[in-house]
Amino acid sequence: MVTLNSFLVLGAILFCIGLFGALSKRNAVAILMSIEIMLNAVNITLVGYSSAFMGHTHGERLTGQIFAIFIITVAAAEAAVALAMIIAIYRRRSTIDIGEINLMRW
Amino acid sequence: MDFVSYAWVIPALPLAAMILIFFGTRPLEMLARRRASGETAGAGHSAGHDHDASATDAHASPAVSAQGEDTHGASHSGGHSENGGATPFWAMAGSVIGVVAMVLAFFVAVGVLVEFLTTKDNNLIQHGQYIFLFDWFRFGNLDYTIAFRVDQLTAVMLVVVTGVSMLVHLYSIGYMEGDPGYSRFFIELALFTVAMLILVLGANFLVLFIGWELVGLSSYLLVGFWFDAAPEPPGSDLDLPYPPAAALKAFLTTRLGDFGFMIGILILFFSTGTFDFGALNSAATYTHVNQVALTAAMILVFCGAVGKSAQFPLHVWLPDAMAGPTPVSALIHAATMVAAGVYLVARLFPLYHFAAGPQSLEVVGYVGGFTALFAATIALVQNDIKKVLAYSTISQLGYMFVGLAVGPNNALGIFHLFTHAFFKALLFLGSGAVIHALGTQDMRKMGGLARYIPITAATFLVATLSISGFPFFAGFFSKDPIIGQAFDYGTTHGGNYTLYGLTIVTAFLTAFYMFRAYFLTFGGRYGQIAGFWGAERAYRGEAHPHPPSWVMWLPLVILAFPAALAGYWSSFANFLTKGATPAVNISDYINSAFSDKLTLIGIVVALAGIALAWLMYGVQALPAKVFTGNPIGKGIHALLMHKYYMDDLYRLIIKYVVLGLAHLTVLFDRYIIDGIVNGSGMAVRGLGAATRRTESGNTQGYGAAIFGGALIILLLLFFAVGVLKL
Amino acid sequence: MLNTPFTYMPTGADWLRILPELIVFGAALLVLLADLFIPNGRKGWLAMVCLLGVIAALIGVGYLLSNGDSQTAFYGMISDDTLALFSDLLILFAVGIGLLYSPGYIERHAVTRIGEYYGLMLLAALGMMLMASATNLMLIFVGLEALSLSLYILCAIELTRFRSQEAGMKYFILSSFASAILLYGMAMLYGSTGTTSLSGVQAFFAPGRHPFLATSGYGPLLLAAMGLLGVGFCFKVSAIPFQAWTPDVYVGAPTSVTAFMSVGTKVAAFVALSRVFLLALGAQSDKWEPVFWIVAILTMLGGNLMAVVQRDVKRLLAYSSIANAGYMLVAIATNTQHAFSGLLIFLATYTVMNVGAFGIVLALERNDGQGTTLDDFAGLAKRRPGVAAAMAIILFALAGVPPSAGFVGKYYVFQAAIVGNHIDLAVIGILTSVLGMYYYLRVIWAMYFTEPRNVSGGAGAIAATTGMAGEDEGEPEPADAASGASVAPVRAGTATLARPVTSRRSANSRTVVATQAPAESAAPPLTLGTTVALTLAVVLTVALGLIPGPIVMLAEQAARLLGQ
Repeated sequence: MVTLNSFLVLGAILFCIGLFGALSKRNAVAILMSIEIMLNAVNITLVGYSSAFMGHTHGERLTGQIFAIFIITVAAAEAAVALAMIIAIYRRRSTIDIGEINLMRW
Repeated sequence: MDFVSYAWVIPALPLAAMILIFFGTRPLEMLARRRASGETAGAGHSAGHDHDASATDAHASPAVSAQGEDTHGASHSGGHSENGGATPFWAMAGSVIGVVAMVLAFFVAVGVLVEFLTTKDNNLIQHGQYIFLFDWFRFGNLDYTIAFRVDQLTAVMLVVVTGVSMLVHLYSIGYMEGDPGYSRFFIELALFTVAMLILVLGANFLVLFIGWELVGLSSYLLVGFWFDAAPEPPGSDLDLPYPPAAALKAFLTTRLGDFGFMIGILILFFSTGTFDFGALNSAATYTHVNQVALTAAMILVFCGAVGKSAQFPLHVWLPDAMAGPTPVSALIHAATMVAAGVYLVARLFPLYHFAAGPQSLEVVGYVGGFTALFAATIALVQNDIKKVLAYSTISQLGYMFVGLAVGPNNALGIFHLFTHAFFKALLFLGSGAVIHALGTQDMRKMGGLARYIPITAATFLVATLSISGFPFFAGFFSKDPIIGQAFDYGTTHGGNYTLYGLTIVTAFLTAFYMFRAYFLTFGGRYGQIAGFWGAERAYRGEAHPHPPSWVMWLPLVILAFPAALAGYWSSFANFLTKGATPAVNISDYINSAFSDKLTLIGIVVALAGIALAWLMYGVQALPAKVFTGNPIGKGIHALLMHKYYMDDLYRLIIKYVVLGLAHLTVLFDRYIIDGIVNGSGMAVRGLGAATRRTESGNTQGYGAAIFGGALIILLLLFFAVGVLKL
Repeated sequence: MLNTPFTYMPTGADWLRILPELIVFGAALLVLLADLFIPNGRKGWLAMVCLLGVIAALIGVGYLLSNGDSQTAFYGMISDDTLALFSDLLILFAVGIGLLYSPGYIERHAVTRIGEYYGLMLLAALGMMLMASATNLMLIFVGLEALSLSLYILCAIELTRFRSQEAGMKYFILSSFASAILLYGMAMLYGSTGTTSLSGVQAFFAPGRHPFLATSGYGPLLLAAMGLLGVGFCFKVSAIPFQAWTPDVYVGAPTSVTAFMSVGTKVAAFVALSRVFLLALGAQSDKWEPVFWIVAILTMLGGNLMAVVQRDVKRLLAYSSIANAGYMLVAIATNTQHAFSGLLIFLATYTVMNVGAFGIVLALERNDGQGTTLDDFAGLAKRRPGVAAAMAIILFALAGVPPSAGFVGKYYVFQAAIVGNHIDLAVIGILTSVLGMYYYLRVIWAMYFTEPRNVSGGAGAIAATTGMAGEDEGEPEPADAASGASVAPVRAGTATLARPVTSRRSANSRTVVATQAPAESAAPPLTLGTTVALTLAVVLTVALGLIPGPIVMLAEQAARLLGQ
């Protein structure tokens, strides 16, 4: 039996994995992937809630799933933009190590 | 015609004139002047000198400009061809625009007054009419509105301001002829008028304060008009002020009073929540207001009036303000600047009289009464004709404050303001004509001038009679009731006749020093009609007096009528109090004026003053040495000559107390504050330098900060609500 | 109820309610299309099309202001209430000014993708407008992403300048990171209330609706939702400690984009933040108010402190925008209708001032993006009096000197804070404003009372170039508190070294002119668009200070939403 709790715990674990990756990876593509994981963790949480509301009168049942579809779409757009920028940076600097992109500070 | 609704054109007209001159005729004049000087430079011979002269007048001939006034007179008496120069065409056009605008404004103002006199509309009579309302902004329950309103008091002030200003404009065409700052003068004159009109039209403190400050600003500009005048020539003992210094003094001294004024306004605002005069003057506003705070607020507001209306101890700026051109003096003394303080107290009269404690009006009365006597004594010994007039203004303003303090309503004070505006403007314009004719303002170098400038002399005599309280003249009808009311005030206040004493003595002194000035200037020993008229033998100066042009004597003649007759407005009190006092017809009015014993005392006192002046200066049967010959008299004379050493006292205070304190604070500042400030400055910069290190430029560092912040916020929330416990 | 099929048909009225958004969207599509047909060298026309679109959208906003019905449209997704229209007005103004700056900037900085640039400007504005008008968490997210995605690209659009790409990259990583956090918060809010509609959330907390809430509390879920949402929004408004991206991105992005995004994003984010917290979660204010209280204090203090030590004016303005976010958060923490209208007024005044300030930076920076340090501002009043005067007016306004727009904004926010029993916040706000005066007025001091450093003179040139190189390498400037004292003599030394050079040169005036000429050319003259935009910004800065009445009225009308 897959309960709401299972969804939420899975979502939380995925979110933390993504969070850790986004903060620890140096490779820009890996960071992008980590952020995608975070977004998908949110998707799982939303879908979980959505299905939990199915049997109740309280709550908008489908909203969570629609929200998830929106997020998937936006995530795709984000990935496209991010990859384009990463390529442009790689052309200039021959590196995609995010730690080396720090001209501006203080 | 519905003049009241169109009252907004009254300030709009001079404003438009100002803009027209500033952006229209003045640039044109400058262009023309540049072209003219270019031509002369090209032609290369002296024929161009006449065109050039006006441009370089004051700048090129510092030797001649011994002092502002003298330059002026000298340029005319010394001969037009050399120095005066004609006014350029466009400058003249600008001044004509100014005069036309003022004439139109005056007619609208008269229309407004007539409408108020004749209207049957009770709402208009009781509440006046808003002519301009603009919600500047409103936030929560605080409301800042720009509002102009006309009521009876404003209508009277409008006529006074526009009337005097119109004549001063006209007069200035002649007086300022050929001055290099001709256009600038008319711009500043128009600004002055607009400022005063804003002040009297304002329906709340916000607008009044804007006008108040604008008046201060424009008086600063006008008093310092001859900012490049050279200091007083050696050998003169007139103690002529240096225009820029005088301007600064006027500005700073009035600012001192404004400080109290502002605090007073704020107290009023915070205790009542409104700036609006209508609300402030209605008793319902004060059911919950602390009366002590209110009384303090009213006294503080009066501080502003003390500064602007030159009352003791802030009177010192007004005599120095003589450094401005004489038409400006006329405007300042008659209608604009100094009237503002009296107007302010009159505007808030219900507040003073009913809402605040009696102490507030007592302060007004005693300051006014003391100033009246104080200034009159100084005026006794002055040799500078403008100084005499300046101190007489201070003294008369004191009368107005006494009138406001002792009267049952504000009509007494305002009526004196009304009549005073005309005869004082006339006196100043007359003295201007004299200075213009001679090039000096030292009365010891005058005498018998009625022979040379009879129109000026005759009109000056009318004004002198009026200000002296001679029966049947305007001043008599406005000043005598104040003295009488001061007596009644004494009777009702437990026999304390101080104010009556002050005013009646001042009346004697006024008659004396004004006629002294008249005899010294126009008549005197060897004069015709027992010294009352001039003669060539009586003239003590050297310069040849030349008669004023028509633009200068016409205003004098016009002003002579109201200066003599303004007192016959018998129902003034009825008008100003919106019918609260009964209307009086003219014969009852005159009868009642003469049936009172007090009035007779007043007349006798005035006549005594005139007689003494006649004895001493008219026929010189009683030489001044009688009084100054003995040591006591000599001491008093010196004391008066030095204006009770008030200026010196202030100088000492500034030098030793203020500057001493300043030195002390500098030390304090250097060793203590600087330490703290530098320390905290260092601390701030240190903190800044430390915190900027957080901006490491490392993206993931930023991300970690976000994560950390999120964690802290979440923990905070959980602990605060009690989901987590330590 | 459970199995009723969902049907919703949008009506004409629905479409009318999003009229401004539709116009902007249409204009964006038109620009992208027109880009295909307009030859290179004439791309300036695209700016014209954009501007026309913005003006048409402004007219649309005006129409809705007078004839709108303040209803929600599309099944409660979006609203045309006064709050939405007010923020539309500010966003459209900001994008309009940004567009006016753009042609000149594009020309100087060789931006090649001009069609995309203009299209994305409009799409970013569209995202902001959607975010500010949204009445559903979903649409807030969509609007947020629309504006963020457009801005990532706009920041990185200068391919020849690496700082631009760095800005884009940093912005992308941090912003999407924050978006994920925000989304997680939204998911949790959905989980705890069962709805994503803001009015639904508000109704959920209505007294008496769920009696168990009052007794048994809320559980960690709702608290976590509020915390994560708060973090997400605080990132967007660049509140400390989520501000770190702001200076880097503002400095790196093309200045015309910075001018627009620095205000547009703030308007959108603050309006959405107030819709979520003040409105939907208003019943829970006792939980979140303390959070914003702390964040507001941190932001005011930190933003101003870090700005004090900046020597680059563009970066200084970035920190000043953080500080200003702090003042706005004061209004959020105060949480009254009064404070909310104060926030809106502050946003309006901040918009006109800030677009102007960045416009000046744009007018002064050289083609390599340098030339905006305090030294470059030295003696500006003599070289370019008009620009210096405009900058002085705007800086005085930012410093909050009455009677300028900045004063009006601060007055309303702090007054509301005092009335709303947050004297602590008002006092800190006023004290930190004093700190702010220091660094704003220092720029004015530099412009009016210091001599320009002679860049071409021997010692000065070396100092200038080394200083610049040091910046580029990312070396820390020696402007710490400890070394601050030692810097001054050094600077004085270079000045005395430079002075003989100038005085010797002044004997031959021709040489002086020649040496000054390159300095002049480094800062190119203003284009027409920039002049118009700067004039507009300065005039409005002054006008809002003198006549705040209309904007105050509109803001109070918009804030009435809270009272309902």
